[in-house]
Amino acid sequence: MPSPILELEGVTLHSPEGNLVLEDTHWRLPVGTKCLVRTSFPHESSAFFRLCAGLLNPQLGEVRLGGEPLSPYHFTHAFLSRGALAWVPSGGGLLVNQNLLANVALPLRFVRGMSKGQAGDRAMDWLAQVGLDKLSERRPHSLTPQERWLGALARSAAFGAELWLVDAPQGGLSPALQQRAQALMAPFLEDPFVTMLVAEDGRWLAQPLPTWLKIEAGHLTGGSTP
Amino acid sequence: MSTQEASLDGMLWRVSARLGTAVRRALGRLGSMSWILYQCFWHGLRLRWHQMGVIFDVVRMQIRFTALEALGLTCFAAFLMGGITLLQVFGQLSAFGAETYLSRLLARLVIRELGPLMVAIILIGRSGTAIAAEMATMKLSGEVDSLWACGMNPIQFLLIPRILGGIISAFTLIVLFGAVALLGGFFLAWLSLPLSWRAFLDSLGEVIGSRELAITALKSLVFGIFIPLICAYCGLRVQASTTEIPQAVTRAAVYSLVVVLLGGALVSVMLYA
Repeated sequence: MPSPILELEGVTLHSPEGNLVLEDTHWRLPVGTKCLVRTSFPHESSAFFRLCAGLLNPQLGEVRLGGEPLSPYHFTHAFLSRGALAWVPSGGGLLVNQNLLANVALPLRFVRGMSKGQAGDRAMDWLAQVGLDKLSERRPHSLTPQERWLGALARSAAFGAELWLVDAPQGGLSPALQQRAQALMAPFLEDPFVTMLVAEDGRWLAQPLPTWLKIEAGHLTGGSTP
Repeated sequence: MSTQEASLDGMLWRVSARLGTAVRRALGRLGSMSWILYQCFWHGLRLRWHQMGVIFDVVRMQIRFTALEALGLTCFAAFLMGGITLLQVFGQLSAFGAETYLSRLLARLVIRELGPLMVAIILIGRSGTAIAAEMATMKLSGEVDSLWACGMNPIQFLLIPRILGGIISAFTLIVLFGAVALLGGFFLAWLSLPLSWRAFLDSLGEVIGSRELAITALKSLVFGIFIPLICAYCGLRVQASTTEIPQAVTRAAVYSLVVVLLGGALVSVMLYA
């Protein structure tokens, strides 16, 4: 059995709004799994992804990422420090005081140790794949929410992360943007060492994803689509 | 126990409970800030060579916003402060026929106390509040979370460059403030008094020594570390709502001012008492 990249041990989680998301949940996500996350409400999938990224602390239980427990203010978590996580939130989460190119290149310089030139070239390649190369000098406030989300997707791809947590973009994507996102995601969906959790709203990213997770009334159930 | 005594007893309990809560909160904040300061020091030591380039870029931006763009305001304030101080001091000294002490007194007042204090107030008003608002906005818009998830340590990327930029900017501005204030003072004195440039420089040379340099460096260090740290701390404490941003900015300015006054007084007492 493949080793788990993400483990929840007896986790009880309430969203920041106070709604129950998970209750006494035990769950393991093996390496290489590609999974849709189905929830009744969008905030549940966001809260679940934030829990998996260590951005939201469970009320009870423990989350282990890459075998190491996540805890608040644990700035030296080995899995996170080596840049193995790609988090694509609904709003993109780009730094507003940097342009799009710098947003994609910055983690490559800081975490991967690339030079400014190398990181810039690599970032530009991935931005070109999602058709954002012409907007690379723009700051996030002058981009649409969908472009910001695609920028975060390009950042994750450039980063070469092991675990992707992809939340749904605000307002959905147009067919043209869906195609770009699918083209970017395709090689990673084939990669057996990349693990992916995609919010159900983003099922168009690759159809069909073989497995799914359902979060309902605090319970997490898994299944696969034949 | 009579009803009146019981009522007094209850009131005393309530007052002491409130005092206790306030003290506990203040100690809690002090503890949190000390913890962040320790984290900055510890994670500063853990910075890798390839991360220095990114940090340097942020420090450069910070110095640009904190020092370079504040040069005009600092020079203006210094010139006026030098002139006003001179006018006040001259009025007092001339009553005793002690005008020759004018430049000495001006130098001591400006370099030791007024210069660092005024620069600290400028730093708080211009940069500290901006840092608090920036951090609060970054926290609310999920940028800090995004940094964390990308493996970019927020302490290394956000706090350390701001503290380094703060120290360099505070030192530069304090030295500049002192120079401009003394020049402004001399200029006004020269308009109304028979004071020569040579005599002014000579008397400054007698007053300004290694102790003044030490006090400038020490106050720069204290203000440069604590103003960005406190402001960033207040900004990062916001939880969920944009209405918390102005509250965080106000808190940052007030806490920074209190620390600047206490820190400045402590350094002066240490070096001159």
